[in-house]
Amino acid sequence: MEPASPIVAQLHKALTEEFRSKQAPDLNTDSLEAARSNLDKDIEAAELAFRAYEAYASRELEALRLRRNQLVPISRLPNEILSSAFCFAVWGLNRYTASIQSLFTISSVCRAWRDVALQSPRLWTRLERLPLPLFSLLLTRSKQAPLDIVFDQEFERLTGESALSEYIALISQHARQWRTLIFCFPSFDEIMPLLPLPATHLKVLVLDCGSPLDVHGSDSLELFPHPFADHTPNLRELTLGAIFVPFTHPIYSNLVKLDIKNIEYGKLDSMKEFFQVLEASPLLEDLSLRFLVLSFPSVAGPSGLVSLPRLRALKLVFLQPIWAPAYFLSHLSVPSSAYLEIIGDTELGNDMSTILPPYSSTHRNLPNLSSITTLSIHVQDCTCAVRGSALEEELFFFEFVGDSLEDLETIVSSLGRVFPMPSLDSVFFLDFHLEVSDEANLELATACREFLVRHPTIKDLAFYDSHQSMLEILSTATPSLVCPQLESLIIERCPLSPKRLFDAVELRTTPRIAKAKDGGGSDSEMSNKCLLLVDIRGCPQFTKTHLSKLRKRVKVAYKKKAPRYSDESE
Amino acid sequence: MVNLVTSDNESFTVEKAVASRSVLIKNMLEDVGESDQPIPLPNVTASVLKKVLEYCDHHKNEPMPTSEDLAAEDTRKRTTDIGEWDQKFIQVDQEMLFEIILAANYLDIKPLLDVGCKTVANMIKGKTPEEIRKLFNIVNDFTPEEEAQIKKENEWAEDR
Repeated sequence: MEPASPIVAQLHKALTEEFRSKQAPDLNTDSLEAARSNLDKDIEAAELAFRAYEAYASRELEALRLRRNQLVPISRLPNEILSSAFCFAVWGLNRYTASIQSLFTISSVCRAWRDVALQSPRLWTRLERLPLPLFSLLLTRSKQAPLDIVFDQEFERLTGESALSEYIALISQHARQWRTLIFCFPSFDEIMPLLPLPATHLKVLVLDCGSPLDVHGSDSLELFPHPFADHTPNLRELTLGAIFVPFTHPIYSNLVKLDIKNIEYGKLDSMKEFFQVLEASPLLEDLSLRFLVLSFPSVAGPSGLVSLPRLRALKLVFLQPIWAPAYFLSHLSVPSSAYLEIIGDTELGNDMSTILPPYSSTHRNLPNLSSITTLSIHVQDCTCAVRGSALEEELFFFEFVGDSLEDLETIVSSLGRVFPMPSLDSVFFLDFHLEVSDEANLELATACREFLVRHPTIKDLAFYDSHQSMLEILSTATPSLVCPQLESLIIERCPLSPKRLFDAVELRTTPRIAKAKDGGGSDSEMSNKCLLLVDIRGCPQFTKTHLSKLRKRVKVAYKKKAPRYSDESE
Repeated sequence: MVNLVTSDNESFTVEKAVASRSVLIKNMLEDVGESDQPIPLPNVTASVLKKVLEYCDHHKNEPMPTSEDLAAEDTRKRTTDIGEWDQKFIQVDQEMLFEIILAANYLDIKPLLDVGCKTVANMIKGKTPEEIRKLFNIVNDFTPEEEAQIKKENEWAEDR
């Protein structure tokens, strides 16, 4: 142990003497007792001196550290900028739990940062699954800032013993602050205490008490006649799952997004009122109708078309009965840039003509369908997904789900019959192989061929993981050449024989002027169009000899290995 | 063209479209009208203005953020993704980074301010308090009482 500095000794002596002088005089007559008492007083004075110095030194140290931190470069940033950086650091993370940890990490760096964090209510406004004391702490620190609250099924599992009702009781006191309220829970009862409260600043509301594929809301079951005391003047995004709120309610006013799911409509009047809501929603950008059952007998809709001039996306997912998608589509008019999504199972029909209304009656209200330039058809497990896009914007997505894909042929052959695609120039076939039999693949190839023949404008064609019979349709010229304007062909991980590909390339790179002279004008045009590029990926059956033979006729790109196609990689 | 004069008395002559990325300068130009008078920028040094103008020049053809954009960003998720060019642009030492942020704030160039704030955010993300202190040369200045409170809060936050 180092000897104490004389200054420390002097300081200690001065301090203890000061405390000693304040002590009461010793009246003890017993000498031993007096000596012990005297030492006790010395000890007490020394302890007081030590504490006094410790407190002083702590304050000094604290002040020095504070001053030191004020001189680091980041301290030059004003509090509002630091707060903004904290917002990015906290809410730029994908997982809520990581965000909360980041929030508390930031608050633990130094006093200045903690002060900035505590004085930034917007950092504390997202309330999701947290232990009750922490939930309460965030609520307090949010002060009067708008709250974004999420209660989902994860909540129950992660919040331990505290009942959801305790959380509900806490947020009920802050109804004026609600900006987002997302409640995805199987029980209606839990949210009851929230519903009588007016929600003046509520912008986003999700009340979802249903589960996918399970319809248990009904227009004959009006559980919440006057939600939020009929007062949600700022509500713009609404999702109702398995909860029916009559369409005459003001909650549907001025919406930008409406998502209704898991409800059965047995009254035709409900649908009339629904279309009235849409008519009164010129700002609507996103409309989703999912897992709905229309059980009224008549299919009468509104007398005219309901125009949704700002609609960006229309999603019709698993609607019943079979005529339901056509029922909605034939009464809505959407902009040409809007995205249309239809998902259903093949029991509801795999022929698009049963799902989409006749083109003659929809081409004006659904112009997006026929304006596509690129089409991709993806077969995977029990689904067939068809995507159409133009100028790299996806315009429609149809997905058919079934136990087997025996009906794939019907889906392919109905494509382009229901609505024309006059500008189609690129088609992608993905996973076009059926495990059943070679005959099934041949039938599917025939359907593909018919589809391609109906679209002679196609310039780019791609096959990913597809059966060789799909590609062989390119190498025959009878009865007519498929895709006569084909300029580029991609083949990825397909078992096509090099000879077949060479036949197809030869057919499409040989001038056809002679035929044009005999045959007429259209072939004369085709003679100028010929295959320019073949892109072969992940097809090890192609040797250098095959490639050099192909290169004599066409530009060839070749990659020996190719990763499995996925939506992400596209 | 617009003539800008920095705090260290250096002049920069730039296109109006470049200078107008700054809402402060844009408003000044609108208020003053056509004029050859130099615009003084007393809060920005030449070295920082040079960087800021490099950013403005690169982004001069992009649409200015609208009031709708500004209102929308206050809600829910915030991305910290930064464009490739911006990432390279903002690869500077801490001193310069904070000077750029301060200049963007003063000149009212919201997209540049966001790039700066996101860069600071990305420096913070995934680090412990001690690692953050080390990175920004900060010392722990909490009192023992504050430390105890922080410890309790952090235990709640980790106990999930």
